Formats: sequence, C-alpha cells, structure tokens
Amino acid sequence: MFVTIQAHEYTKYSHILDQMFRHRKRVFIDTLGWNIPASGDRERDIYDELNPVYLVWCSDDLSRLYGSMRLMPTTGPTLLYDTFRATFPASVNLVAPGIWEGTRMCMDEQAIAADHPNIDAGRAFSLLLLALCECALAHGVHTMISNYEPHLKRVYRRAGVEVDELGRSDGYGRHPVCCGAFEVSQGILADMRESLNVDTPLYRRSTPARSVLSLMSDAA
Amino acid sequence: MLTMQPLRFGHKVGAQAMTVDDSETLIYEKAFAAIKSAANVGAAIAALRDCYEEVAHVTYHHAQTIARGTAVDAPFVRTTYPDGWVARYLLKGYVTIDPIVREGLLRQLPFSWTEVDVGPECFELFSDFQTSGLSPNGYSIPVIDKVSRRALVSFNAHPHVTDWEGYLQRHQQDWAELAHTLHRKAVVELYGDKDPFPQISPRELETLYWISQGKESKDIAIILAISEHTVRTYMRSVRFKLDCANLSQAVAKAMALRLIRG
Repeated sequence: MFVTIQAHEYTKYSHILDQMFRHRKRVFIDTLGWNIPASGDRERDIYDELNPVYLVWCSDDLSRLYGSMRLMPTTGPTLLYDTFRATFPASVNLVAPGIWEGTRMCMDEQAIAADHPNIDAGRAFSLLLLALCECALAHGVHTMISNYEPHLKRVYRRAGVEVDELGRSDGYGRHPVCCGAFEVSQGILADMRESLNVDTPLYRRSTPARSVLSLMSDAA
Repeated sequence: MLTMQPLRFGHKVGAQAMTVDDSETLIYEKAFAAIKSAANVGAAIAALRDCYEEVAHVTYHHAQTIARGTAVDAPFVRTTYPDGWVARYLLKGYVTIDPIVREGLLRQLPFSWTEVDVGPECFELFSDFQTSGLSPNGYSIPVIDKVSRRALVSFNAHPHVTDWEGYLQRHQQDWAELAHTLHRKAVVELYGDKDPFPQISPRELETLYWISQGKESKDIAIILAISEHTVRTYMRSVRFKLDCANLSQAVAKAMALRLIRG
C-alpha cells in the first residue's frame, strides 16, 4: 500500500520508518556515495527532525518497506534550497504553499523482487511517482521540486511525468545531481495512469476508525 | 502599460489555467485585500470568513514552540467561534484534547477533519460542539515558515452546506495561500516586525519582467525554454514572496522596489 506518514503517525509506523532510514543509508551513502552524514547504519539529517511527510510504499501488514520519499513544503526550511543555492541560485528558490519538495526517493529492489517479482525496478519507481502525483493532487499541491540523477529522466518520460530541469551540480556523489520541477495536475495523472496501465488509485488517504462525523452521528 | 488579461495567469495552474473561474479569483483577491487591510488578526479572520459564504468560522492558531508530542507552548489564537463555545472550550479544558489542534500542529499536509482519528475522550467535546450549532465539517491548513514557526488555520463549514468537499476542491489552493497571508499578519502582530524580504531569484525576476512587457506564460515559456507550467510556478513563487494577490500587483511592487524596470 501507498501511504503518507506524518508526525502524528510516526509511532504507529516506527518499524517502517526505521527500515526507511537504514535503506536510505545503503542507497545514498553506500551505493551512490553521497557526501551526507550517517548515524550508525541509518541516514538521517536535520530535515528529518522537522516533522516531514514520508510517502511510503510498504506491505499491507507494515512488515516490509518497498520504497519511500520525503516531502516538505517550500514555505518552510527545505533541503534543496539550503543545499543547492550555492550551485544554482537562479532556479532552486521556489517558495509557495502549493510547491513542495521531494527528496531521498529510493526503492528497495530486493524487497520488491521478493514480494512483487512481476514488477521491475523501473516500474516500481514509476508506481511511487504515480502515488506521489495522487497524493499531491489530493492535498492541493501543484508543483513538486525534486533532485534526481540524470539517467532517471528516461524513466520519468516513460512514466508520463513532465519534468523541467532547473539545474544540476557535480560533487555530491558519483553522478551529477539534477534538480527539477514536476507538474502535478489531472492531465499528468491521466497520462501517468495510461503510460503505466494503472486504472485505480494507488495512494490511500488515511481514514480513521472513528472520525468527527461518525462520532457526531452516533451522538445524534 | 500593463495588460490586465494575462496577469490572472499564475493564480490557477495546470489545465485549470484555461478555465479560471473569475468569481473564485475575485473572491480570493477580495479576501487577500481584506486580510491585509484589517486592523489585526482578529479582524482579519472575520473578514476572511465573510468572503466565503459556505464558511461559518475561521480560526488562526499560532504555536510558538512545540515540544515533540503534544505540548503547545504559549499559543496565540484568534477565532470567529461564538463566545459561548469559546468559553465552554476553555472551561472544559478541551484545548488539551482537541484532536484537530493536536494533530494539526504535527501534520504538514492540509487535512479534512474527517481524516482525524477521534478517541472516546473527544466525545463530549464534539457533542458540545454540535449542540452549539456548529458543523462537524472542517478543513485545516498547517502553516510552516522559513524560520520553522508553525500555525494552523482552520475553516469550519456552515451547518447548511451540502457539498463541502466540492467547495473545498475549488478553494483549497487559495485557502493555503490565504493561510500564509494571515500568518504573516500574525507574525507582525506578535513580534512587531516583518520577516526579512525573501530572496527573489533571477529567473523569477525575468518572469516578472516579461509579464511587465505584456507577455503571456506561453510566450515566456518559449523565451526561457522551459515549460509553461514551470513559468507559472515561478509566477506563483514570486507573487508569494512579494506578498501580492495577483501578478499586476507583483509587477508594480517589483518596479517600486527597483527589482525590475518597466
């Protein structure tokens, strides 16, 4: 399932989040060689302390993580602005309530291969992007700013994603890192669903066991 | 001379840009102006409420610091709720259990109140709420600014509203912006001074310049070799940074500040 995890749910999803921090260390530090600090076998930075939203794909029983990314509003402190402003100040300085940044997107290919052998790495990545598009639309977000490696552009195109490269920089790891703006709209959503041949929503908005409405209709 | 037509662009985005509902844009601009010209945050929330006829109440809740978990230190709250309800809320200590506020100051994404899990301890609170003639439909927008100050702006529906979800869909992007407009006002009221002017990027200034020359977003996209959506993203960003309701105001302000030349 594809869900968002916000600060009030961190405890409920602590097992998944712990897998995510460990997996981020393996991907960004061990594999991509990014110059970012590790704490033991986990990768966590100061932005993880600011109660970000995590969009995760995990098994329904919350035992296994397949992929994740971190979402933060550009009105607050953001990694891409702080990190990239030295390299391309002209472009990565977008701030508005409907513009969010997505960082640390990564997939656990082994976990996916084990539980979803029919989904290859490219499709898995694209499915998380589709869930992101649905999630952003549901919450009034019209643009995502995100960093990615140049070769992913091909994957984006195949998935029906529109991205404008705003800039790129060397020196963060083994490959250059690009920063791009992604359109979020009903049109993009339709294109993505068609490209990926998916006809039902992936992202599940949290629905509580007891809501204000159920409580009040019980009371009535 | 500025042309007025294309300047509405950048307010609505994507496919919606072609079908901008003038009435929604007008309401948004009216609400923006009402907040700006109000004497204080208390007057601003009432003025904002009055702009949206399906909205019964607006609350601005500023949390100065939040300990991890639930504790809210020294809150600043302004609300249009009736005095009777506010008195009851304070008297019964509902502030300590109110799940909308507790979660709202932890969440980042805007949410409908129906998304919030309410335990049995909240039964009396919501029962009282309903007895006071208030609707269970609401929408809350977490606000976070560059120095990590947090606030929560909540819109409570009129009890007679039938299609609150549809109404939300139409206004949620505007409300997210108005929530920040309120927040900026509150920051001035609370701390006495404005935040430093945000840094405006060369690309944003280029976009503003071309707007001042009467270009539309699709022309600017060709000039800058970027997508039209990204042009509109720059427009939204620079309009937000300049704290303006529309692009003509943003162009005028940028000229007055000598950021661009006409």
